[in-house]
Amino acid sequence: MCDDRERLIGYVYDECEGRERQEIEAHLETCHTCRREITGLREVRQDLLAWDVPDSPSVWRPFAPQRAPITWRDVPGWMLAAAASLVFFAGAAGGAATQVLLPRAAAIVVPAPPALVAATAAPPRDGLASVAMTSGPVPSDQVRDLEMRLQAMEQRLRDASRDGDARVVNASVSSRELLRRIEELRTWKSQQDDMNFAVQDSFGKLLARTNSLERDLQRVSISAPGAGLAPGKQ
Amino acid sequence: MTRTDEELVARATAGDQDSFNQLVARWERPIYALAYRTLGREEEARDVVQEAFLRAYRGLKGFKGEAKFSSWLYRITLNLCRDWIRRERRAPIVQVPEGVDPVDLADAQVSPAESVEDLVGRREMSQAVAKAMAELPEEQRVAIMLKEYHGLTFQEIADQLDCPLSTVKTRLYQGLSVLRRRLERRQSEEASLRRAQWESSS
Repeated sequence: MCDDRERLIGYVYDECEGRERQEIEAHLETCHTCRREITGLREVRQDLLAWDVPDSPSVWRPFAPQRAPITWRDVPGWMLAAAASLVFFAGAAGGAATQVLLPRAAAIVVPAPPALVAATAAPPRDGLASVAMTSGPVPSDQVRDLEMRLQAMEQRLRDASRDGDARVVNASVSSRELLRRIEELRTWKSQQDDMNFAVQDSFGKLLARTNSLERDLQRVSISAPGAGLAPGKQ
Repeated sequence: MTRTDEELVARATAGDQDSFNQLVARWERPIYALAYRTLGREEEARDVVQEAFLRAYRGLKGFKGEAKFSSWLYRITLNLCRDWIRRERRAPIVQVPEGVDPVDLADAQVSPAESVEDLVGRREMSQAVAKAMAELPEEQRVAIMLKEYHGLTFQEIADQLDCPLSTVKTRLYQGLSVLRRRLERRQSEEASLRRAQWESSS
């Protein structure tokens, strides 16, 4: 037992089985050397508690709180009712006009919304991609909005291809191509995320160094008033 | 409602950045303490903390939750500390000031029950422990730090350091024994000094 230091350490840190503990305690009653060893280890553990860690300002610059996406619950009921009525009447009016103005045999072809095509237009090539990124961080809520728009477009395209809708094809761009462009935009967004991160990282370090310098200067001005930094002491 | 680390990690992985902020707020101090005690330098410890959280954030998607989030974070931190020590080819140095600055003492937060003598004694002890720890071999120092200041079990330390359980116990025992001898020697030297001062003044 006296040579089995591993067991003693397990006992000191209270990480041994009940039976093993009983055996060690029985041994300690008769062995002065091990008793002294255990006491010494406990004392040094007590001494270790004295090792302070100096206070330090946080080095992390928290992410800005994200803006909660607007849900239907946030919109008052009367406003929803008004919007629904407006859509209904606009639809009815459009339907009536179509019946009157369009010849019955014409194929119903609706062009892809310009906004959708423009948003997914091919990105600039040959190094121009960086133009799409800002030279600094973009507020996180804007990045989040962008992601939501991309998701909405993606969903719309997927729905359209699932329903066999001809509208997107009609814009002389295949839905696969549009999905590819959305992916490209997402890559840009991720680059912007990285840039935000890098700027944040760098700003965090800048902040930490500034705080540290301030503390050092404070010490200098207090402990060496004759050194020229403390005002009015020369 | 306080969320567990696992819940916060899941939310942060799904894109909730505020959950990651909460993880940082929860773990920044222990991680700083680990880095500071490993490197002995405040500035570098802060850099390590920042880099550790950046790496954790970037690696969240790869974190499968097989280990505790804190264990994962400790591992990242220790690796960064080791990298720093290797890169700088420097042994950890504890910044021990030459003497105790009375102005510094006045600034320190002294509890009403603690006299200035107690505070000086506590600081001197803190410095003595820091110095003795800095002189230990790295593997013993890290094992003691993870056990004493971060409360890891033997098995968790073995996992962190990729070594057998018995090796952890041996390192702890050897490290504590060396510390014990050094701190006892220091105490006996101080006692001799005080006796000599008392004899010369009387």
